[in-house]
Amino acid sequence: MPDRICHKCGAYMWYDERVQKDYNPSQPLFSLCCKQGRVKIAPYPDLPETLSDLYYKNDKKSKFFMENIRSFNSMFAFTSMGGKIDNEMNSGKAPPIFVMNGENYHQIGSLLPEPGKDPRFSQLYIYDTDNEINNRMRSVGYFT
Amino acid sequence: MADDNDNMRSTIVTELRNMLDSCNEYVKTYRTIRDKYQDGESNQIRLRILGKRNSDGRRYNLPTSSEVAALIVGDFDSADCERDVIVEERSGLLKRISILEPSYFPLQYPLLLPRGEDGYRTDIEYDETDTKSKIQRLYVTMLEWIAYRIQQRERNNSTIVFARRLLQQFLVDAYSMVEYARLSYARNHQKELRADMYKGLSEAVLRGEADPSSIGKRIILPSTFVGGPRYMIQNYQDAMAICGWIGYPDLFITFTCNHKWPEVLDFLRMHNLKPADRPDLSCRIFKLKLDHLIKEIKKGEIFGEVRSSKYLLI
Repeated sequence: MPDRICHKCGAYMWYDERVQKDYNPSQPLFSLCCKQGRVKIAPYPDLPETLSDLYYKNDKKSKFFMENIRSFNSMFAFTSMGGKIDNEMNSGKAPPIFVMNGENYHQIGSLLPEPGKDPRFSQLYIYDTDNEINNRMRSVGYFT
Repeated sequence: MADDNDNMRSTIVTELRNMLDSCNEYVKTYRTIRDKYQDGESNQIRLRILGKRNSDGRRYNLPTSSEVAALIVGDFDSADCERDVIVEERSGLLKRISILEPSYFPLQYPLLLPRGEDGYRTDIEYDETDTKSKIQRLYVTMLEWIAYRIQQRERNNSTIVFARRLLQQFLVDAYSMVEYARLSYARNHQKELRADMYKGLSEAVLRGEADPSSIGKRIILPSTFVGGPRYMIQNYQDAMAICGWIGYPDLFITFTCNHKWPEVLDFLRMHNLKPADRPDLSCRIFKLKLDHLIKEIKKGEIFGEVRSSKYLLI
């Protein structure tokens, strides 16, 4: 269990992660989270209810969502990742890991797909939105 | 069962679609474009994703729709949007989003940043009102921004640390982003890094060979680039010099990380997570334990007096 809370930014920290480890102050400073208070960024606002239910409610739906969160995310992403994602490592029993090879970059396509091609990523927000739900699921390989 | 999952999947997708439609600024912009097409807009439409924010990066990270993107209908002058990404109507080509764009993260992770919250910006200032010393830099670095964002805090509205496999993806993405920035620093500062001196050395070695690498421009990674070949060689040579000075090591200790450590498990159980869902925690606990071990050996002298030590992380 992290045993401290950074009094500058509120992050959960371990006492041994403090700066100047030769001293034992009762109120330690930490660099790992906020550079001893120098980095101050406004927290992100609360989640919309739909999403916070999916994240934290812990029911059947939320479990299903969390197991497939990467595929849900890429259904809605505007950009595609340029690196090569290596899924071979995840076929065994070991804990899942994310492996990517090659240079990583994010790319965005044009507003409309080329004639005859399926809409992808950001184009799903514009093209053929009457069948949007099916298009989105098909974009990550689920056939409906 | 399969039907069940399919139904659940389409319910979730519909819910997410409705949610993003109502709160995500990028989605709203794209929907405006769709409406224009449906109304039979005949002019060419382009989208300009803006790279500049006028608000203070420390206080605001919720951009308004006019801040994230602008529609361009018809012709435009490309001169005044240097930093922006222009999305063409129908080109079949892909445009890169620079890592310095505030939209880099929200466009890729709509489920982490559902409102299109800004990612890293280059103009977030430090707050040094109650720190003793000042640092020379003016703005928060990419690494510091990411480190701040992946912390778990008391009043937590961060999705990032609870996103499980998406957190893994985010971490890899963020790390490669930092490394890209470090690599381009090395590329753009070859003069200051005195790459010429390294060059002389390597050319002497390669002289007389028909070497294909002499074609094109060579970029040399300095020994300060952590993890690079020069960095590794330098540390190896240091280690060998120490061996030459005091003799060969008596102890060779291997210390491995165990994701079943009670510290890790206790914490994860609280949030109903698996060790693989929080790789950052395992790493931090490993570092703490490693430091303890080294302190025990050096100061606690469990193996007797220590004259020198070196360690390597793999």
